[in-house]
Amino acid sequence: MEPISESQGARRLRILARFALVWALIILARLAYLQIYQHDDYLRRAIRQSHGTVQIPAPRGRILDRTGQIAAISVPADTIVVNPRIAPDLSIARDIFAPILDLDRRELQTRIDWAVEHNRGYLPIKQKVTPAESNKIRSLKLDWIEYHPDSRRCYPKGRLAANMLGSVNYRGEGNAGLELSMDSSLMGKSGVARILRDARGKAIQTDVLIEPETGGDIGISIDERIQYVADIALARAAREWDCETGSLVVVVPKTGEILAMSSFPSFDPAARVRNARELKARTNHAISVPFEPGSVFKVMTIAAALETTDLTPQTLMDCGPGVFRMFSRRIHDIKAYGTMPLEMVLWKSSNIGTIQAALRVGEARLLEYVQSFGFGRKTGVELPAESAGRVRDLEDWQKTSIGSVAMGHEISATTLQLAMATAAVANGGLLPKPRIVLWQQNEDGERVEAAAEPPKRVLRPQTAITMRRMMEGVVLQGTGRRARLAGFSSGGKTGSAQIFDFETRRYSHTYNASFVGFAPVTNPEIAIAVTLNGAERYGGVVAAPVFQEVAQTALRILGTIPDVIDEQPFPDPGPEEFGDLAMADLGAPPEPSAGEQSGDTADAVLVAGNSASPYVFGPTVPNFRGKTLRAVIEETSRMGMPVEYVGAGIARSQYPPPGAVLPVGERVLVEFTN
Amino acid sequence: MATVTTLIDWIASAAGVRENVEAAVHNDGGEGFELRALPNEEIYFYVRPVDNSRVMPQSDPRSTKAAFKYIGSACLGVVLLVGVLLPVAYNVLAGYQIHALEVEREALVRASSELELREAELLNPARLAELAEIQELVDPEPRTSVPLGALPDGAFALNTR
Repeated sequence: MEPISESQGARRLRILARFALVWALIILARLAYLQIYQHDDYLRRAIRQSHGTVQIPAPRGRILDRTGQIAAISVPADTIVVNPRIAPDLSIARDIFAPILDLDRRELQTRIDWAVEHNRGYLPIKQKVTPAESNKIRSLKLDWIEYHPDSRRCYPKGRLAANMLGSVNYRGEGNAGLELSMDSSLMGKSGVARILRDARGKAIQTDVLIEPETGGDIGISIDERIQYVADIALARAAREWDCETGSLVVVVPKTGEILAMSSFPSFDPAARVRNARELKARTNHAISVPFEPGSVFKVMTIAAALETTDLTPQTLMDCGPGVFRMFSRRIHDIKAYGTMPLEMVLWKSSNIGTIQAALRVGEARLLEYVQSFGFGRKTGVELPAESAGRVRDLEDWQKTSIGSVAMGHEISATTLQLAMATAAVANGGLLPKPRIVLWQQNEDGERVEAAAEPPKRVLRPQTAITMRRMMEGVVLQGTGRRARLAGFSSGGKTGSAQIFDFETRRYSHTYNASFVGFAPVTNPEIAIAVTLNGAERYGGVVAAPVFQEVAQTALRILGTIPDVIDEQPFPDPGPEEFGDLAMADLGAPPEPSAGEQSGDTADAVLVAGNSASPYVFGPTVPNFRGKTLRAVIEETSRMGMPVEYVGAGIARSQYPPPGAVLPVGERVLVEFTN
Repeated sequence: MATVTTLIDWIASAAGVRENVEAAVHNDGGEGFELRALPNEEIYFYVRPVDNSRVMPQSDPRSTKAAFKYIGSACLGVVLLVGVLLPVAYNVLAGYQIHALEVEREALVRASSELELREAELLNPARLAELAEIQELVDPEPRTSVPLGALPDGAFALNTR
């Protein structure tokens, strides 16, 4: 074979070089295609792979009571999520999650199977887990489990004021109560952040695209200590007297701030609604459920009478034999009271005396005062689902409606409206607007005080003071004796409105037992309205003790200085009268229980007057009967006792009766005849 | 034997190779006993001992210079590369640190919220009432006061049954 010539070797090299060149050109072309032509596409893929956006949850604002205690707070919580497409073994996942997160295995398996069947890449295992559960799952260090940031709404005081506070849904939005009405202030705005991850998925850089806005805190007027006592006392009375529902409102008369708002039954705001009964328990009976108030409404009627007529507390009202015929209706009193002064009409809750006063006021003016006290319209409190109650227009009144309205029937009102009307009497005739929200936190984190509306005048100051004295008499000598407080003076009115049975179309012998009151009398710090619906006893028995318990504690918490000298022990109230039925024309009232007598003691009470009360101080009234006008004036002047006389001739009747104590500021009423 | 050389030869002059093969196949010299040409028979292997005991390396300044130039260029390239990549590396490390701090901050915020919640739960009036019941505390009577000075040492100013 001939040796390879030099030209042959060179040729081989040239061919090799050409081949290599072609190969290089192919590679370059491919590179150019990938890095220039498809640059945007691969950049997008790279960004998608390495970058991720996450939502930064913004916690919901807190709700604080007037003492700064937390009533509602949101805490960070994880939502446990898995991707069924990449989870190694979902049966293991089920066995891991079920015991730790307290889930039903079969139900979890069903959800996992569904997600796998539908090729889902996102399966939330449990939302808003507790820190203990989250830590247990994290300690397993399983990289196929994801933890999405979330928040959990907590109510550390349990059921305290639950009906007023409300609740949130699974998205953290308010769905009842204050959580709903103040949702826009409490709800924060979530932010968005972009995270850069390395090849192992570990985050190396976070850019906040949208800053989260934390929800603002709000401060409410509720005092959790008073609220607790109110909840306990109301629930205990409702259970003791087998009542269906109940409500209680404690308000500061001067400012309208609500110190407590209780509703029975209550609920756990952190729990889910499982049935209709639990949903019904979420109703705030204090504002949403109006009812016929009954005898407590006599306060408004008599106040209107004092304001618009020449009636005074000492004006004698003829209540006759205890039956009053008004067109086709017969109005009964619990017993025959005969003639008694107007203030005793209130003490004894005489229907006949009240109607007589209302007749003097007239329909138009009575309606005007009813509306000016706030009935028939919403109070404007910062809560949803408030009922305005019902007050019929004058053109819809029947001939006997004036009598019904005077006694608190043919109208409906909420417990809050009754509390505010009582507050108006306690506040010198000024009706305040109820308020719960005291301050809100703005975007800068500063507290902004909520503006308070000025009160509206509904009564003259002297009328209000006179009403306060008369209502004090209800507690001292009338149907509200179980509302007496130790160390504090108090005034109020009981109510026992018969509930209308729509099936039989008659009034039943179950009552809306109520008590409205305030304390102390001279400078009221609190006004309270309590109602228990479906009771089988009167308001003086069922509701007045609740007022006593709540008012006693509230005044102590508020640091109110007692205004009654406790020199004498609490007297034995003796036989008490509780009959304050507003609709007593449907048969005999229930038999009084032991210690609850009616009828027989009326005369004894009238004769003895208020001499048994340790809380009334003043001179003892002598016996003026049979004396001339001149003699009576001389004697009263000598004693420094103010006297008011009616008629001429010889003294036939007097009030207070002989031997009674004349309270300071009061005057003796003597009636003369020839 | 198929080698790159033969392959290139084949690509370059496919026809010529075939002619040679045909010629080789058909060229028997008239006698028919000569072997065909064997591949790579022009390559000879033989061993020749070489005595390098007296070989002395001769210094080549130009190659030394070139070597150092190449080493210097390589070092400069490395330094430049490190200088470009270092900030990126620091960024990545700082990112890890920042993210770790953010995770720690979130954990602290979470713990703070939980503590706040726990404190509020401990101050629940129902719980305080229960504790008061256990310790036999009572509500103070109206218009009563307990002079602290009159109590023995270690006593609490509490109303007890």
